[in-house]
Amino acid sequence: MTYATEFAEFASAASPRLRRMAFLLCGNWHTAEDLAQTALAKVFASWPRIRRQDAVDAYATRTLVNTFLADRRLRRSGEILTAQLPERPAGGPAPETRIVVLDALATLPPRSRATVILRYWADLNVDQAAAVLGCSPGTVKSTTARALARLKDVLGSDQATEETDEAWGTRHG
Amino acid sequence: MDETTVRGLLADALTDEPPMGAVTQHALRAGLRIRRRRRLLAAGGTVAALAAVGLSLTIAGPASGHPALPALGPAEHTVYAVDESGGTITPVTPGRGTLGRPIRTGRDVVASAFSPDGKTFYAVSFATGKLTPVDVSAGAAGRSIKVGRGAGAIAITPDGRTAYVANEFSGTVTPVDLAHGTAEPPIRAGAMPRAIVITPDGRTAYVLNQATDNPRRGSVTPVTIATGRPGRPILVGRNPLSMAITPDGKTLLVANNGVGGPGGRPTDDASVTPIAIATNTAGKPIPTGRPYTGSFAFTPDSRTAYLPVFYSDTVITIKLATMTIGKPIRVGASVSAVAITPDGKTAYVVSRGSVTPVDTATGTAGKPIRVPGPALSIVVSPDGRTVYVGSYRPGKLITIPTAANRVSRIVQVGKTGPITVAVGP
Repeated sequence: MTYATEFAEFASAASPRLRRMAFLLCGNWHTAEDLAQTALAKVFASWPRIRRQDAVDAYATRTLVNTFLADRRLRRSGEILTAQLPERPAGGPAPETRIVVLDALATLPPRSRATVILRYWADLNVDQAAAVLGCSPGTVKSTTARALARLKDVLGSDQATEETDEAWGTRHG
Repeated sequence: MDETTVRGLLADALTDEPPMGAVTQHALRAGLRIRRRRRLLAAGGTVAALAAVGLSLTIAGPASGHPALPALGPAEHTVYAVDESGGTITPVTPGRGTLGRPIRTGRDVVASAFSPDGKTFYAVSFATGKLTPVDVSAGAAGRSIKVGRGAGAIAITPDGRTAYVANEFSGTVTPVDLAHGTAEPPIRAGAMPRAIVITPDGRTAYVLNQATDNPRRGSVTPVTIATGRPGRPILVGRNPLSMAITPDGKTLLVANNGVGGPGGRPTDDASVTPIAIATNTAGKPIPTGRPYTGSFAFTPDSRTAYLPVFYSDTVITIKLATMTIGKPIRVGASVSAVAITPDGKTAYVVSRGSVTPVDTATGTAGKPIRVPGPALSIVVSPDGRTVYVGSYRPGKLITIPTAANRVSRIVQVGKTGPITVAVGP
């Protein structure tokens, strides 16, 4: 098996996950695809040095997160949303949950956003997230706590909406 | 907000995931980036280990431009076979290619360098972010020094006092005081620094940054060694992958991959940027049209630069006097590295399964020498008498005496490799 074939196998398996993680980081699918491609291109570039490690997945995740954090334009892609939190017309239809969540994520600084996604979407434990982000486990814990508090602030009202919907579902479902 | 809620919300955010297009799927599997209207970041799809291999050769090998030495008495140089993934360094008997006792360092030794006096060998572990000194005469590793995340390139000042290690994931360069074995505060470089070289006069370290705020450009940060201060980054082409200083110390050449096409197909944005070291200014890029290039090699007279093109049968040549493309060298398919003899007469080109000696004056390829496995590393000994090749899968060291141009010995070094060969004084 040539190493291009080995890589193709790895990339086929890993690309959906990387693309989704990239989407959560940057907030749009177009940029996410760019980001996932960039990260995989870098993994490919480093294939001879990493392919024998068990940690290829971790390496790819780290490359994706670092590519995102290293690039000011990518970081800004989420931050722009922060400045443009949509005005919700009173009495209009409730925005889709996914838009609300993305807006909420966009209010977090890039590193905090990455921390939340690594912990609660990629299901990494504190130590693994610290390894990806290159910080101490303590920093991961404190960043996570602050980020969750922030999300609670931002999402508070929308949580109420969801509860109402659930209540509605209970009554009519 | 509890963790379960956050998990649920993050999953909800992905509910409108569009299907991945066939072109994107292909690009992702091939490790390539496809052309798009909006592109945010350039990235490389080539064999990164070669940047490291190239550095070992640039620093310790014949590419540093020593004049041809008369072959007197037994070979007097140090050779190490570095097993990248295994994290071991094995001394090699010069000329004979037999192995001594391996020395353990951290895993993923992607870069290494000899001190200018040849007494110490420094190995950089990408996995642990540490620099390990190896005492050449004692054959033992000393205390490792923590540098940065993604440590992937090293260069040592000609006075042997300081090593500079580029940390790809920290965006920094860590100077290491070699006398005391201590890391100094990191110097800010650009995004994802991938390679580092130091001028022969020891004044400037150049750091190659893969990304900048301009998606069509990478950059090179000059760092003044006396002050440790980074200067204004010099913009180069898109997606720079490797660089080297010409033996006369006048020019820094940067190979820009461009956006890259599948299977090494030509692209219009692949180029080489010459940077004048005296003024730190970039000259007009030399279009090469070929992405996925490896490490530079030079004739000692600084007349010609050689640049191997992966996935192809071609080695690009650049006439340095005019900074124009010369006649390419063509050998067997899947070229990966080039080394030039100290007399500048022969280029040894590694391609899949063979090493081909090429007459540099005429560009004529000689009879290919068969070698096992793909190889990423080739070096000619300073006395010009021996060519060493490091292969992977299996990890082997291959010794070829230049007088015979036949394999004289093949020894197993690591389980898988890749094996990098480093030659010191």
